[in-house]
Amino acid sequence: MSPANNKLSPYDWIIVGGGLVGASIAYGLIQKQPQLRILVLDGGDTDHRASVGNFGLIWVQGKGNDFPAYANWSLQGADLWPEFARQLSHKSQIDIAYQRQGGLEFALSQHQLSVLREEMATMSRHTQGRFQYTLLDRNAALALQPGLGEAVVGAAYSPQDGQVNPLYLLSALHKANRLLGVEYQSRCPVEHIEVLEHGFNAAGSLAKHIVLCAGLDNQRLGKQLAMHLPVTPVKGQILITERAEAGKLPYASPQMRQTAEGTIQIGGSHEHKGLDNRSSLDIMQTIANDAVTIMPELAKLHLVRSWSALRVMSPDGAPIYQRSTKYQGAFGVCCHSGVSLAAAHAGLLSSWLLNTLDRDQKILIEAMNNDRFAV
Amino acid sequence: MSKVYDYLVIGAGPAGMAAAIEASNAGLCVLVLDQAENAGGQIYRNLGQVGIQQARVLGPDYLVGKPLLAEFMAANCDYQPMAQLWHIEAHEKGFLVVALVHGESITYVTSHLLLANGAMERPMAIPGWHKPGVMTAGAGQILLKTAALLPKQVVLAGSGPLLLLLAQQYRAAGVIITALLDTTPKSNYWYATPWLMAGLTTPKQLLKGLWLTLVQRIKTPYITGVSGIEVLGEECVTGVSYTVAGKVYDIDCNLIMLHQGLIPETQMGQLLGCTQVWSENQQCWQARVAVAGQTSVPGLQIAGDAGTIGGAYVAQFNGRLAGIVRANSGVATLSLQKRLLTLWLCLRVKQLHWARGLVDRLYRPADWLSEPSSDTIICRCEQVTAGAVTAIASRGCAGVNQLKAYTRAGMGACQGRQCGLNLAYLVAHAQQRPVSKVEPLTVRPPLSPINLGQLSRQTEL
Amino acid sequence: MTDLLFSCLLKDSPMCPITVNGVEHQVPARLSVAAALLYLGNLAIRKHPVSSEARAPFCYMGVCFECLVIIDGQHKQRACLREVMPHMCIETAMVGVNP
Ligand SMILES: Cc1cc2nc3c(=O)[nH]c(=O)nc-3n(C[C@H](O)[C@H](O)[C@H](O)COP(=O)(O)OP(=O)(O)OC[C@H]3O[C@@H](n4cnc5c(N)ncnc54)[C@H](O)[C@@H]3O)c2cc1C
Ligand SMILES: Cc1cc2nc3c(=O)[nH]c(=O)nc-3n(C[C@H](O)[C@H](O)[C@H](O)COP(=O)(O)OP(=O)(O)OC[C@H]3O[C@@H](n4cnc5c(N)ncnc54)[C@H](O)[C@@H]3O)c2cc1C
Ligand code: FES
Repeated sequence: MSPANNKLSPYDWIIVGGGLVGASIAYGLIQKQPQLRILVLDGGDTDHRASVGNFGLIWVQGKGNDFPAYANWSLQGADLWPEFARQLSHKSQIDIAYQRQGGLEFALSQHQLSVLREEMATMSRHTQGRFQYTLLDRNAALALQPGLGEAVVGAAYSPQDGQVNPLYLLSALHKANRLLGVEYQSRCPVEHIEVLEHGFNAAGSLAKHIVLCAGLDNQRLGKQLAMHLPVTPVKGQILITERAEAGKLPYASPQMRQTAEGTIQIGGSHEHKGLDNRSSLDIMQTIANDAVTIMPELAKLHLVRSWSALRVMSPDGAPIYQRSTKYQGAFGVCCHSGVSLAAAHAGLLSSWLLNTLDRDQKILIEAMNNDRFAV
Repeated sequence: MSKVYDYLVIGAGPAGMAAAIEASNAGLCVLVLDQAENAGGQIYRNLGQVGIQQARVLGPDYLVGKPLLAEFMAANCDYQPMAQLWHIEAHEKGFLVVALVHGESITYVTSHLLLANGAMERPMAIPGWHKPGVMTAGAGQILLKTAALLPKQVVLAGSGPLLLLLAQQYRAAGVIITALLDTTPKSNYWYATPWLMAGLTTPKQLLKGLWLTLVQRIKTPYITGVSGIEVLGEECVTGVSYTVAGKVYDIDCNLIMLHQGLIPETQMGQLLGCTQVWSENQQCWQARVAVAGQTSVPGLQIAGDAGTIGGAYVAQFNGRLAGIVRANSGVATLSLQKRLLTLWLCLRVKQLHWARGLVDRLYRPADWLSEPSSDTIICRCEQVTAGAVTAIASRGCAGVNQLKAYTRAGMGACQGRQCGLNLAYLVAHAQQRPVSKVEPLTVRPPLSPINLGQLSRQTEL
Repeated sequence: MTDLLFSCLLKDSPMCPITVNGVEHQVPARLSVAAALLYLGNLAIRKHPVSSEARAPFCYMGVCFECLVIIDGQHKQRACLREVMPHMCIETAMVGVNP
């Protein structure tokens, strides 16, 4: 049934935005309460979509160094991933190539290494020692990752990091959602949200609850529902090489990772260029240079693709989980690490939306609302 | 700081050569880059080198390019063959053009850029088209032009002037054409009649075309109204099956050449954010170009088949016009002579494009080709089938770009050149919307292979 | 290698020595590498990286990327865009798949 036919019988939930955040939340909601009528409204084919342009890491190291709630949330999110991945692959019959093989962040100077040491220690403190890590000197790093260049002085290692194919993750979420009865409408950008007496009207569909998961468009839509959702685009360029022999990079890393297909993904820049997401030579060159410095033998691998995408970035880089105080039933979710947190969004955040969460968890999530940006 | 060219031309075909000649004659500092080893482009490929026997087979329309080629070789412009362009971007001084030359990635800066990189053949996705023993008719012609290589025996299949021309050239060389399977829908003849007027404005070409068609119909085993072509064979081609009037036929063959007309190579313009429009007549996306090649991007022109498919003559006129307009940009008053020449070239280009409407309508691809059976490979690089694409598209994905993310179709080495158009048709069918409303695949560098080592060591020119 | 699919019109053109997978051959000068491989009777020259099936050059004009070979140690060269040079060393993933 097309949503247009449902104008008169409202949905329980409308999710605006079908990226990783919206799709994970819909997946969580429908699993918890299968009788719910949920509609996901998504944008057009060439919209900015961090969900199809990201690096695919489920990353814990360094997350929430200045923000204990986020550090705990990231770790919890990563711990929920194995079960989430198993269930999702089973439901969707799509292999999302999830692996929790541990991750390495390489340091190219003693200074970088000492910064990493500091960060790891802070993170461990924030999480009462639940975050596990080892700081590696050059030889120890070489033992885990052979072929490192001369410039690598060491690395930080955590067994809690992992990776996934983010494209298949999104595809699997959409497929599972459809099988579970979530309705999905693409090419349906929401311009305006009308507040009704007992709910909301978005693009002609009605619902009692609405969650804004529209990525960079959340800022604009949030205003309509009296929510301050300050997000800005931060551009990231990524390079991907031809397939290399399996096991070339046994560990995940924000600097480079090997995908299940065998290609090597290299990244990524952090650029403030507004909504411009074109590829540029200088950045591609820098990325290639860094990669070759870390692993000289990558020089002979061919580039098959490059891309760039815009991060949905809050002022402190941590997620924003917001409930509209003015309009009951309206929520906003903005998050940079939507891959890492997919399991947490499906598992815990959806319970928060349904108001079925225990008190401690609720406090943790609500610590990440926008009060922290108030001056 | 590197040298800044006044005009950088990509492609040394008729359009690029003509533009470079005009611009350099006017005193501009011009550079022409081409990935081929010799100038000439698709039509005059290898013209400087062919032997007499090849020339006889290839016919007079080929040799006619000699003066242009000579003029280009004598022109006062830089020409870099074997330059594989892999990236272009906007730059404060105009454009940054990056090409791999002899294994080194070189960056060129230019204030104005002309894309004259020509056309490619419309990918004809039929079951088995990825097997050894299948190639395009263009490939057959290139092998003839550049290597004098001739098959002993071949099946030709598809539609369009190039297929007929190849049949003619092959017959002249004594190749056995087992069958020419013409997929032109009979209804096209009817739909094309209103365009006869347009065709009549170029009577010589019209007659030549008619003659070519007639001769093939008489002299080759010519089968019309063909649909449902399938390549047979496990590892290699062993035969081909096809349908005529509801009846299925099989023929044995080891080699089959496919053709379904030409489409512009639009990737470079797309990379620069040039506005693309769907051409109903030519059934493909094209950059929006004005008659002298101007595009939606200031300083960027597109001429020849890279803009609109028009053939060699119009490419050459279009290139000349583009070069003259570039050379005189910023000139307040043109001499009367220049103005008349520009006007004449404008009219010629417009007229020839209009006349082309007849060919476009007559050889518009048959509908069955845009709805391949589900086991047909659509994306040759990533081995994605039509069935997989349709399954995702009918679930309501937003378009080809989201589809690419879900299926990997379009992610391979050819950067979606071989699948982009067919993906759009499949999405359009599955979602019951016009293909013109499906947005094309986004283009990203590298447009041709480069390794990380080469990328990390950039050379500025 | 069985019956050749293609034959060459050039009868008395100068020849150029090249090496294909370690074996020396003579081919007419000025041929593209892809054409030279075909001249020598090699239709399929590549194993597809995803399916491992045999694949052959398709467009001979640089758009399909079905002709990738190693030339003088350089990987991923489009064989259809390069002319043979004396003593050029060509490596292909496979040779000789022919009907
Ligand atoms: C280069 C890069 C690397 C990254 N690496 C990682 C990583 O390794 N690990 C990690 O965890 N995270 C990573 N991320 C972050 C992660 O990708 C994002 O956090 C996540 O994808 C955000 O998902 P989203 O659904 O909020 O946003 P998006 O993916 O941007 O989706 C927004 C959706 O909303 C739709 N939409 C927009 N406006 C409207 C409207 N008005 N009406 C209806 N629909 C609308 C759009 O069409 C789109 O589908 C990376 C991001 C980038 C850019
Ligand atoms: C295979 C084929 C065969 C054809 N045969 C005929 C024929 O027999 N008769 C006829 O009338 N028309 C033929 N055509 C039509 C032909 O396109 C036009 O007649 C005419 O050649 C168009 O001229 P042009 O200058 O626009 O482009 P082209 O002649 O195609 O020239 C484009 C040039 O750009 C170069 N180029 C492309 N991409 C890059 C890149 N990334 N980097 C650097 N250089 C690049 C190419 O090497 C080429 O030299 C054929 C077309 C094709 C594709
Ligand atoms: S044969 Fe198509 S790229 Fe060489």
